[in-house]
Amino acid sequence: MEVKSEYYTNLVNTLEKYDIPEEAVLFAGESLQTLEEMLFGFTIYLIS
Amino acid sequence: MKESFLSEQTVEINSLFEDVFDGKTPKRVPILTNIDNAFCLEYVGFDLKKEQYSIEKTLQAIEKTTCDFNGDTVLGITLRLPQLYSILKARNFKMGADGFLQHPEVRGMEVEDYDALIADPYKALWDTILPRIYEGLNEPSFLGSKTLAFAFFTFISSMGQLENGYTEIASKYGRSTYTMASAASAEPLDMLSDQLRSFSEISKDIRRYPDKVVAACEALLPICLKAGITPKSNRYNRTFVPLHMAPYMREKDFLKFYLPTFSAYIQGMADAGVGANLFVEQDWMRYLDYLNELPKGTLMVFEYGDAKTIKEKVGDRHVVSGLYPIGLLKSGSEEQCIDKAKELVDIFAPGGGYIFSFDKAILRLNDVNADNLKAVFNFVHEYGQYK
Amino acid sequence: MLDLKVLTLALGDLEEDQVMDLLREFTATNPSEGDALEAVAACQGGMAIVGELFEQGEYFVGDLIFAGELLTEAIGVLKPALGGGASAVIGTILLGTVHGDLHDIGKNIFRSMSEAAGFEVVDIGIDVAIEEFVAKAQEIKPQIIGMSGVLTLAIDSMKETVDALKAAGVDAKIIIGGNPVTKDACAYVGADAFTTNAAEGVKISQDWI
Repeated sequence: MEVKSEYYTNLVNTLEKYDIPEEAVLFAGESLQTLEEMLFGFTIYLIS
Repeated sequence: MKESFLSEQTVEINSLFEDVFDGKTPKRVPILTNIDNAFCLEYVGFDLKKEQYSIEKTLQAIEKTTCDFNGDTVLGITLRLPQLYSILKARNFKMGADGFLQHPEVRGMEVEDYDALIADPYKALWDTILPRIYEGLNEPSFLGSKTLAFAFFTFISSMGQLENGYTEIASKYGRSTYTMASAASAEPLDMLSDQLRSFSEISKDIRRYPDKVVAACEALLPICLKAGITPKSNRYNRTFVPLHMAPYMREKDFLKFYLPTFSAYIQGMADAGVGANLFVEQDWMRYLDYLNELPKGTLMVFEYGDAKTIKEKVGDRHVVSGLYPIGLLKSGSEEQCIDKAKELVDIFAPGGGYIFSFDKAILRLNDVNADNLKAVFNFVHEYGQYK
Repeated sequence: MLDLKVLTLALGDLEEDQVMDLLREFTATNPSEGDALEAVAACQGGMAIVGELFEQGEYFVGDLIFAGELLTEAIGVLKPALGGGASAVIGTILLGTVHGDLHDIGKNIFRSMSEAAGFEVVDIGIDVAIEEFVAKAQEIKPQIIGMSGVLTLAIDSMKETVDALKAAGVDAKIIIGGNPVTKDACAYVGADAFTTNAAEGVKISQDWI
């Protein structure tokens, strides 16, 4: 799931943002996008 | 879940829950409880003011409690991390003198923040709302970043440690790896009410700014859905949805402000294959027909109401649960406690679609008589067998 | 001329705009203190309707909260016209959430409803120490003491507080309210009455006066 927000970056934008080469997409997706998702989960916890 | 590292007994207990959520009659009525880790810490004689800060000690307490009580799941849900609230200088969770974390009414959002929330809720949370609830986020320059870094790390590492610990305990003692809350998120109006506008303010907003409340709920819906649907969510690893505001509203207001985004949320999860565990707080008897229309197989843990009416009105389509009064576990005799469990099993269990549970979360050791709790668990194990 | 019946009904219906329009028109005529007091009484009459509708299951807790807000707002508009005069106080209630408990929504609803019924309420907040309850009771000599709590542990705190009040010779009537209170809890605590319903709590208090 994605949310539309200035503060949320989806996988495609994450790869762009950090200038990740195509061959590293799989690995960067795992290591970088996971953080984005964790921060989202943390945010929800903070208002729960 | 049939991973090879799980013990045979765990796989078997898991299958009780799987059957119920698959619409099949299980071998026995499964038991799903909502017991706070504070209960476990006190049960093993730890002091909330001290050991509560340690994940390791918390897991020790949960292990001992799980071992001593014949529940089907790991006993002791760790919802709140005191160290996290300390780091963040939280206003929403404060410790009482005995160390138990309480939730005073807070308001992170003002009326003038509605437009920003409606435009971009996730941004509004970080720009204005969270810094009002968590004073530590307002510290200047590096100190504010440091607070956030500490808090985020504490959250991720603690939750990871707890999750691993729970799975280990489940396998070691042959308990289910399923829980009340694989993920959790309130529905939109409850999310808006709880820590954003507060219970008192939302009651005024729905009269003064009805359009903004509706728009805010719609804006929060994708946030709720994202929180409720995680990569590991499915029909068995379910999302806990504590329901709050509806019983305090007139039906007319419920239909306008609550129901539309509430049902869209549960439906959205169902469309993604994710089951919802509703805690139906307070008295929902006047709303049972609306509950019945939710996606098939929703688990509903009732706090109040008449068991027969509930079974009749929503029991065919959904999984019913709850109603066992924890007050009786404190003051009743063992016989009275067992009689009550029998009464509920007799009403709810026929035809399946029932999980045994209490009417409220058990928060503290003092909330119940532990011997009664053990007796009720044992009774349901024996009496709850399907032939 | 202000139609008091219309005002009472508008407040009972929780029609905020109508109530405020009526009162603004009214205060623009520079009413006498006596007339302003009648307007206050009409608003209190509206709150009584709110209480009845709550008991009948037409209104719910959210409506009570809004009603309390509306009444405060209404009295605020009338205040300049009231001068030094105050509406008759039918009794004094000392109110607080007992020690160990930090919750206050229920207490606040009870406060606004009993103020609307004509009580003077001295609200000493949340997590109130036993000694504070006793000292304040000795100072203001209320007819009624209200104790609120949400946690189950509040029952023990209530008992300790009631014991201390009795030991100190405080003879006010005691009512306890909140999620965990029951008939058994009331007997255990040694209170005179219990309720989980603010409107009912106000009625019990009125009967005591």
